[in-house]
Formats: sequence, structure tokens, C-alpha cells
Amino acid sequence: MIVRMLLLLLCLQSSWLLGGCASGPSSQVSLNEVRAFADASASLGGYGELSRRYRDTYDREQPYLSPAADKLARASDAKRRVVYNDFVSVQKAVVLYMQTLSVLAGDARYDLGPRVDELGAGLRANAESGLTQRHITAYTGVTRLLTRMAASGYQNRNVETMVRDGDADVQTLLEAMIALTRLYAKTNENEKKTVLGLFDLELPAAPRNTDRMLLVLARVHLQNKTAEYKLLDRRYDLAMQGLTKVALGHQHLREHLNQLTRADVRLALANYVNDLRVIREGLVAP
Amino acid sequence: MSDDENGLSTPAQVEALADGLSACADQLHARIKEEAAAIAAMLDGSAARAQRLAAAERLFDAEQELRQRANGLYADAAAAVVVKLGKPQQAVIALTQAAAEEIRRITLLGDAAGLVAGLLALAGGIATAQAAPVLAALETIRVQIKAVKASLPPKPAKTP
Repeated sequence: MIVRMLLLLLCLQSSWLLGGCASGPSSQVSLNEVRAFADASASLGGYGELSRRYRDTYDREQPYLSPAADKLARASDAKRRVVYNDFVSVQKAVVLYMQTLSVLAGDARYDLGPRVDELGAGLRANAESGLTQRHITAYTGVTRLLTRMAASGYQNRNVETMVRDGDADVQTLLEAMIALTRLYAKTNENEKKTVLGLFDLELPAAPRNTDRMLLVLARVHLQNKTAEYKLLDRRYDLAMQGLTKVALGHQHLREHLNQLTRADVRLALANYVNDLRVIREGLVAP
Repeated sequence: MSDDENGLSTPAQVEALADGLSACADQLHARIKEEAAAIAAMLDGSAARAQRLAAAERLFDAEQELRQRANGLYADAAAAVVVKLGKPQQAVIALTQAAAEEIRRITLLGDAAGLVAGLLALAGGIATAQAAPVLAALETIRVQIKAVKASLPPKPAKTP
């Protein structure tokens, strides 16, 4: 009697759990690489810092400007400040998307182990009715597999849906970020040449009776600024590379939506994750 | 929207013009550096030297203005980039919200497993005709049902 009821409940549960399941190809479903890629994409630095730098260009170059140049610079400053918030919003949208993708692809939240153990406990109460430990273990095992499959299948389908629905727009936003980063870099070039350029003329052409201290100060300042801009040039490069990797990685996801568990697809994703981590480390270091 | 080759209708064209101005400034700077070396070789303190330095400084000012014009154009191009974006940004955010809703529904699966456990325990309690397990199971089921309801989105108003 109890066995029949048990089988009935198991059938009901199976059909219920499997009802929402996509036809998952294998029982071993791991979206770790997808989650890692989404995490790496969400935490990629550079763009935010470079956006701020772009916004504050005038503050840095102002001391070096002639009055006429200063007038032009102030007009540009106003333009840059007006759109700054929009630049930041673009990134926020992409980061939010990646964070959500990471949650969908992660399995920590969907480890229903504790709940499955509850099912086991439910069975133990029936042990007196004639069920053996073997039955209980088998039931728990099956339930666990079912639950994981259903959860992963559900996850799989949601990751697929999100990537499929979001790819075009995410790519558009990433393109925008890449274009903006390029404009930031070019603006920085002009800033650098404005700041350093003054010394190219004034130092060699300085009269011999120029105050020695002034000359030394100028040379040291030039040295520091040159080093500063050199480090910055690298950051623009890295930021650009990072954004490109994110775009390529997401394209890869889009192209292999139904094959996310295939070894070669996962390997390619893992490579993107690695590249992004290297870039991120480069950006974190001064 | 036609792409006038000689016009400035697209961000790309604006950027290209800015690139051109920056390149001119670079060329000018190279000449200024040569001039600086020449000035350095002149007789120190002479009027000629001072004159040439003054002329070079005016050129340097011109170089600065070129760069400022270029940066102004880069700023215009950047503004155009985001103006075009309105829709994709909204779409991505909407998609993220939909996904968040999905995530919330997924946790239902876990709650349902708890519900099933409660049902099993109830079945067990009934089979053994023991009151305590039955009451405990009923309570579990009540709790689980509440949890499921709590995670559901609010029901829309009933239409007659």
C-alpha cells in the first residue's frame, strides 16, 4: 500500500519536475564557464575610470593653456560633462546584464541538496512501514538527479533565452563603449601633447640666465608627467582589449547556445575568461 | 539618412575631421621642436633669438587651439554615440528585469521540493496512524505553501 502511494507520488513529482525541463542532452550540466565569463565581464575595469578621466580633462590641462585655447577648452568641458552620466549608464546596463547572466548560470543558488535531504527525511519516517534503506537511498538519488536536471534544464533554458534575446542589444552597447573608449583615448592624446608639448619648446629655448631652480622643477615635472601618460596609454589599450573580449565571448555564447556543455565550447569560453582576468589584473595594477 | 561624403553628418565623419586636426597639430609640433633646437643654437640674449622664440610660441598657441578644436569634435562624436543608444539600453534593462523574474520563479522549484517532502511525511504519518508526524507534516505544508505564495508576483486585479 505504502509502496504504491510512494510510486504514485514519485510519478507525480517526476512529471511535475520534468514538465518544465528542456530536453537536456546530458545529466552532467555545468555552466561554470558561462558564469565565470559573465563574472569576468561584469567586473572588468577601465571604462568607468577612463570615463571619469575624460570628464575631468579640462581640470588637468587648464594650467598649460593660452587664453584662446582656454576658451575653446571650456566649451568642450561643458560638452563632456553633459553626457557623462549617459556614458556611465551604458556601462551599468551591460554590467547588470552580465551579473544577471552569472546568477542564471551559477548553480550555487540552485543546489537543492538541502531540500532533497528533506525528501530523504520524509522517507525515513516511512521506514517502519517496510521500506528498506536501499529504497530510501535509491529514492534520494533519483530525486536528487531529477531535481538537478530540472533545475539545470530550467537554468539552461534561461541562460539560452537571455543570451538569445540579449545578444544584439548587448553587442550594440559594447560597440558604443568601445567607440567611446577610442574617443577618450584620442582626447587623452591631445591632452598629453598639450601638457608635455610646452616643455619641448620652452626648455631648449630657455635663456641661459633662466633661474636654475625653475629649470630643474620644469624638467622633473616633465619627467613625472611623461611617465604618468605612458602608464595611462596602456590603460586605454587594456580597456579596449577587454571590451572586445567581452563582445567576442558573448558572440561565442550566442553562436553555441544549444551546445553550452560541449567541451570545445566550454574551452573557448574558459580562454575568454582567462584573457579577461589577465586584462583586469593589468588594469588593477598601477 | 544619406551619408554625404563631404559632410559631417555622422559621428564617424566628425571623428575623422578631429583626427585630421590632431594630425595637423602633430606636424606643427614637429616643426616647433626643430625650431626650438635652432633657437637654442642662437646667440643667447640676442634680439633675434627672442623674436624667433616669440614666433615659435605663437605657433605653439596655434597648435594648442588645433588640439582644442579636435577635442571639441571628439566630444560631439561621443555625444552622438550615446544619443543613438536609447533603445538598446532600455531593451537590455528590460531583459534583465525579465530574467530576474525568472530567477525568482526558479526558487519555486526548491519550495516545491519542500512541499513534496511535507506531503511524503504526511503520507507516512497517515500510514502509521501517528498523530504527531501528521500534525508536523501539515504544519510543514502550511509553511511551504506560504513560502510559495510569498515568492509569486502580486496577482493582478480580478476582472469580472
